[in-house]
Amino acid sequence: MNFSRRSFLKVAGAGVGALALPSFAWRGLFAQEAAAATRSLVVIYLRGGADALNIVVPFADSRYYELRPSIAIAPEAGGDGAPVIKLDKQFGLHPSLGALKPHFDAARFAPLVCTGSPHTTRSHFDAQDFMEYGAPGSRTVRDGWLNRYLSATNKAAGIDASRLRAVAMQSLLPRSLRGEYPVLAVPDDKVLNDGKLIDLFDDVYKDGDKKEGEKKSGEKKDAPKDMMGERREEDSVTQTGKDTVETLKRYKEILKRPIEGKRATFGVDKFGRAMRDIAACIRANVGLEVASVDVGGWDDHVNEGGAEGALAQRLKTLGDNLAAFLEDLGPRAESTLVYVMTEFGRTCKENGNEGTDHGHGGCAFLLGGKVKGGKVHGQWSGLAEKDLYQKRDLPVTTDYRDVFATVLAQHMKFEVPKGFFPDYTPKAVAGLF
Amino acid sequence: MKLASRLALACLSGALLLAAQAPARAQETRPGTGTAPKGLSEDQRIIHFLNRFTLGATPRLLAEVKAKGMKAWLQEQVKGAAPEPQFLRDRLGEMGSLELSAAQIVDNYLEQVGKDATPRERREAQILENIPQKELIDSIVLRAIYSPNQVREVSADFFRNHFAVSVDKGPVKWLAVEYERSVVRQHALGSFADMLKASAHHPAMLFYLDNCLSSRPASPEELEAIKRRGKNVPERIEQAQQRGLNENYARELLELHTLGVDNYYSQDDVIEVAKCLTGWTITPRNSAKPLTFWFRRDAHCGGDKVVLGKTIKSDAQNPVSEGEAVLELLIGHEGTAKFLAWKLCRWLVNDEPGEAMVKRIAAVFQKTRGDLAAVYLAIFEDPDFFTEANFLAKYKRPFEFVVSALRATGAEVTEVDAIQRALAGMAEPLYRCDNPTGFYDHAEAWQDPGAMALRWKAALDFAKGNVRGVRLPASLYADLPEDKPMEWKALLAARLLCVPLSENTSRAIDDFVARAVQASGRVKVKDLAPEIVAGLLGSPEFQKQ
Repeated sequence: MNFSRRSFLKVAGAGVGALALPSFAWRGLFAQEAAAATRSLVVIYLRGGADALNIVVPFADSRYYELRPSIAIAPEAGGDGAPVIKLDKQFGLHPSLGALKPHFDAARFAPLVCTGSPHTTRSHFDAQDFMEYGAPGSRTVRDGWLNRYLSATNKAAGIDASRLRAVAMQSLLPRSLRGEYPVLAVPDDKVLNDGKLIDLFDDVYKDGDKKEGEKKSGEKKDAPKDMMGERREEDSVTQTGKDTVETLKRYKEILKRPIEGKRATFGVDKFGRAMRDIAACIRANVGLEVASVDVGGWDDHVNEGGAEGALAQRLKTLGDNLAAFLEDLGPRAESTLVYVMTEFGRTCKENGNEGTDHGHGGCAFLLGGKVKGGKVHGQWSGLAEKDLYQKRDLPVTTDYRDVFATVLAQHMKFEVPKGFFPDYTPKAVAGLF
Repeated sequence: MKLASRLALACLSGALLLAAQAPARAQETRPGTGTAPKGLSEDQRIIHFLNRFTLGATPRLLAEVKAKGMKAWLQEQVKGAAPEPQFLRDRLGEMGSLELSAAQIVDNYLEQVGKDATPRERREAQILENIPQKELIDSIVLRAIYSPNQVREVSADFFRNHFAVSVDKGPVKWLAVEYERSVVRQHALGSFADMLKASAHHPAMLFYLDNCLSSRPASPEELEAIKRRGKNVPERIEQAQQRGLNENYARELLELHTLGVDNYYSQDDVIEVAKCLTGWTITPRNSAKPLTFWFRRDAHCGGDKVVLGKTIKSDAQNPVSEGEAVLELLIGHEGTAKFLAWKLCRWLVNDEPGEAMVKRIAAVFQKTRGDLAAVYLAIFEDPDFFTEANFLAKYKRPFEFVVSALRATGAEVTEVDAIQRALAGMAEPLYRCDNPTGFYDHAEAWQDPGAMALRWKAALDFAKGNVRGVRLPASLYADLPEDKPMEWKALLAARLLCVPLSENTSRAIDDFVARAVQASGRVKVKDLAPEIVAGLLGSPEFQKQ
């Protein structure tokens, strides 16, 4: 199916004509103040296929221990390494995620088991692309599900110069944020702190029309010509340059604003700094709706470790910074939802190298917002071989598109229109909010 | 015959004639526009050619190719025999690790520091340990900028990404120097078949994608035997049980190196390929031939395997041949030819290469078992190579941007560390790709709002001399008339760019210079000219190739 963003927008009811206007023009048309308390969605992507079974551990199932003789997390203290942090009679958290337990108890944290893609691929790269495009199996959809949300709501959201609707805390955008709506990929501090840089390139990437008013001569200029002396309808490089200047100016200005009240203690690692800056943007009240952070390194084929080791260390960084984030937001955590996802889970049985190979069903975390935490969500069918996907992996009982749609509808108050997910009508995930 | 049908026939044959000529004429007319035939000018053709077959066109190279002719130049290039300039040979000659084997590198650069080592000793050991990977990156960047064998550099750039390994994974940092030399560069103008085999046997790949750990699981009989022997039973049982198949390399071999994702193969094929390759591992450090390919017979899965519908017979005499047979099967497979042809056309022609061209290149690839010189010549001679649609249609990757900027400015590079750091900032550090796909090769992956500022920053830093080890030559600014700043832009553009400046960039730089003149009265070449250079290198036209 040839699904393009434009055809979606038609379905969504936004005028195609609006798209034909230069972006600055329709930004101006709908200028209004950002809503005082925007709902924010923070998406954290664990790249590499995080091992769901050692994150939300089915400790009550003896099969779990049979399948994982060297990397399982002990059910009780006194066993091999720190035991699981019990959430209920069936599931426990990896012991590195202790910082999240109080949030589970306070019903702010909802783990979701057996979620993932209906597509069979075990390729990281395809699985990630399909997921971030919200289009399993499609090679024609080229814009991310979060960008589709941003594009579809752009008009209604209202735009003003001080507003920053979306950022990715890394030098390249994740696919979920690629698309028509210009999202800022935040470059490093050296770039942010170079005062002259943006001014110089503001000139170079300014479009012809905008400069018209500034010109003294008043001579009539045609649309910018390219080096072949021909008019090109759109030059994506120039457009990207303009977006870069505009969004960077905005972001720099926002980070300069003072933040009222105390800050929580974040890690000094890259992830910690990213979460700290996202929290700052949310607390600055600039209408930040979507933020995203990638965390790499979850492809544990070898020496994954159990209660301690490689996975344990990564989970500690993740859990501690998530807890710091919720603390830092304070009451704003009510209007902010954190969604932690990964492309797939891993084999239930450990492999020959104290690791696990690519699997199918995975897990997700939802924290904050109005999520119904304090409960492990998702449909679990056990670890008996006959109940596993292709006799080896967790099955997928909750399609990620259903979670995406539920999050957009319940948290972002955006009713997902028909066609948002190509060839798919999502179902609400019951009881999640 | 009736008139009408005769007319119809005439029209039909006319249409057929047109269709037959279509590929040849595509470069002259765009169908349906009704405009007069217009193709690339001769200069544009050469610029396009250099944009794709070098890591940065320069006015000098333009003149060289003009004099020699593109085809003759390319035919020489695919031999890769142009002598490297003396200064480059000297620089490379100073690097002690480049010609060493992996084992020699470990011997020479890895120092075991004892528990009682002083912090200084530890630091020194650390510096020593990092020399090989530093020299690896230095040599790649210096050759990319200065080697006259540019087609080899372009090809190496492609295959370094196609068969990506990362020095961030354990001992790969010891192994990558030899990998770059004996896998990537050795075969960059040779045959894909040889390169695939070399990569499959190389310790860097065996380790990076975990195949060195993959082995058959312990059989019940073996476990029984351990129990019968009665020595250290629990540990031995545990060791034996932890052994097993690792699918990582087998999957990427099919998905990334040969057939393309989910093309032709299934999960069962992944497992069967993994079984064929069990036992392909690395000799230990204390062995007679350390850190080389080792086939461990006792780790190999017995039994027949079925890969892509073909039975690979169990070969008890020579079980390593099963893995070799898999590689042969993949080398000759039409899927490999199609995937590699598509990927090379994407790299060298257009982000979305036309199907017809890919098909033609795939045919050459398959017929020659991936003779890369033949493939590159075929791409150059393909009727769809020199089209207007392809001209300046590719957005430079960060590596291409940085190298082309340094080539265009004639930069003198004495240290590479800062360049590698800049590449890391732009998310493309050499030999440090986070995943085995290699870095992306199409605009969409790099062209994000925000990401462009990283290029601007690099351009400004290069131009202003703020990058350690990189100096733009004084000659770049020579002869700029001090008292006529409005003329500097045109002179600098002619020195840096092979294409005319767009009206927009031209006007923007004029405005910027005029403002500077207005603000300070008199401006100096050394203050303002670098900023003009930065503006040119950061301009939209310099991001394209």
